[in-house]
Amino acid sequence: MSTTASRPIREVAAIQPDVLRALRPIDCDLHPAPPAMRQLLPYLDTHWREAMVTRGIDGLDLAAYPPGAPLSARPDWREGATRPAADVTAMRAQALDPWNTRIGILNCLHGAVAMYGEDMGAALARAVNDWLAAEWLDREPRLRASVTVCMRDPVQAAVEIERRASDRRFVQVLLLVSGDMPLGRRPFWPIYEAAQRHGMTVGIHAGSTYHHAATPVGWPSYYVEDYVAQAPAMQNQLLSLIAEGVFTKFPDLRVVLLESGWTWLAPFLWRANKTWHGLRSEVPWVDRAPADIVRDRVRLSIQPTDAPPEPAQLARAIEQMGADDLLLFSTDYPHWQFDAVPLPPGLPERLLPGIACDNALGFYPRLKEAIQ
Amino acid sequence: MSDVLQETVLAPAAKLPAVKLKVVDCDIHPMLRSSKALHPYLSQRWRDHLDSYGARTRQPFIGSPPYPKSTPALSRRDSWPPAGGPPGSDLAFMRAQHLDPLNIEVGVLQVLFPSGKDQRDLGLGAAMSRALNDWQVAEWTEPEPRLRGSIAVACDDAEARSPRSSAAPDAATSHRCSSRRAAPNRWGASVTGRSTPRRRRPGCRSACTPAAPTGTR
Repeated sequence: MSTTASRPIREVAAIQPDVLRALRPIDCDLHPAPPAMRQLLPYLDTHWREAMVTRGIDGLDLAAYPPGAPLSARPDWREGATRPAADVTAMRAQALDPWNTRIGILNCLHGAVAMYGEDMGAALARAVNDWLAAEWLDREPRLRASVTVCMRDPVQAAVEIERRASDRRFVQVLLLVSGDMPLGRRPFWPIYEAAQRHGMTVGIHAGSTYHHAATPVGWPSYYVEDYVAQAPAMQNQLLSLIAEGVFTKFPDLRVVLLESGWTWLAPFLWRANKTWHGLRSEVPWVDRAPADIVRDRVRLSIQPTDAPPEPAQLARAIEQMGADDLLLFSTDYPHWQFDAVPLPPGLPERLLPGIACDNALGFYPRLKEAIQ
Repeated sequence: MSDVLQETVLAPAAKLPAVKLKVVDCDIHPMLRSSKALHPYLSQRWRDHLDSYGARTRQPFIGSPPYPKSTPALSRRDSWPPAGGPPGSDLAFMRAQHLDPLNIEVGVLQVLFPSGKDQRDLGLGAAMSRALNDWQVAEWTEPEPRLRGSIAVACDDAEARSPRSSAAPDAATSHRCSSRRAAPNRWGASVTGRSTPRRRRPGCRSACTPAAPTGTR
């Protein structure tokens, strides 16, 4: 047995906190506690406010993140809180200040994204975005946000994107990875058209609406199965965007995969490239290799890192991805993805400035303008 | 429990007209008083499980049906017990508002929520079904002789849905085995291919209740 293998894994080449702080990172995945209905009431119009109250509509927290599950919040972030990440004060103290974060992007996982009723979903999404602006963005200049939309109705989602476009603090459109259909399909194109036109990225985040089974082979029984299944779901959606020609139709569209685990990317690109070589006559609009498209138009947030057993292997995994600028720093706060430092051991030192902030600045159009 | 609905609750009617015919009500929905009210009927193992992972069904939301209903708790606006708790959770109020004034001779209970039969974790589904049956007996059918329970069964678990394995109440109090109308997946109700219990207690009937949407696959 090697001496390397006998040492505790996380002690080998661990990133020192001060190194990260000095880089003043951009955190691409922060989760404010989704608002309860009473918090949204002031942001709803008369019709929908009355509907929510008279019908007693509440309890729209997504089943994708059971509040009591260990993954949903790190224990110290639960202490003394009614809900983890409940307000700006908590997020400052627990996520922004510890890492000297210069910008944090909020991805609010509210049930509006999963509503079956399109109009109700659109109304709730609008209220969530108004709430984000007033309760979070107005109170903390370091924060930015993704636009919450109801995935069931891409046309109304595009209207919501238009509505937020003039508020440059909204930098991205938020979708869940497992919704009603593959994300590359044409019904979704109004979202991509609007996002591209307004310089917003499209963020595809882990989680299922549970409109369908969480896996391609049916409904699993346990949460561990659901969560692990989000990584292959990311592959399915990435290939859908490629195969359907979304990146060809929308040549400036950029996509970020959030909370995907990311180390699956290299073998996925090998398979996608190989298969595309043989079957590309069916999809002539895919005008270059899938791997080239991904390296140009897709980025992946770093938490969680589904790391190999040896930290030294992580550098090899990144090398196999074929590009140095694919990874974006994130904490995934308050989800429990790390204990000490929100970067996995084994990252090549030369990549740290890019991961911490330069890759995000180069990829999110609306972030670059904020720094300038 | 939602806190957006208090202003829409109506006060119960003070006086109802007398009903002379005796009535059998085949569909009364008892409700847990709180999210922890089933815990006394669950082992510690399943209490801990519920506290961590919760009840997990084939729906998008934790605390709401996928298509929100038209009234709070899907209930009459005057059915919220004055002493607190959701509609259907208070036996004394059920007697006063419903059983007594309507001259209910027999009322058959049907527990809509929570549902053991809709749980993706079959172990949890079996445990919840047993607990719901014990709860029905302890808090409804024993203290109120007019009420009858419906045996909750975990439809997808061949072993758990056997009347032998469920802590089913005795024949005097149990009238109905409750199962799900829609299969959880396209390939049928369970891996064993059986969709009904092998044996029912004397006097038991099978009833199918509308299931939560299980997706389009």
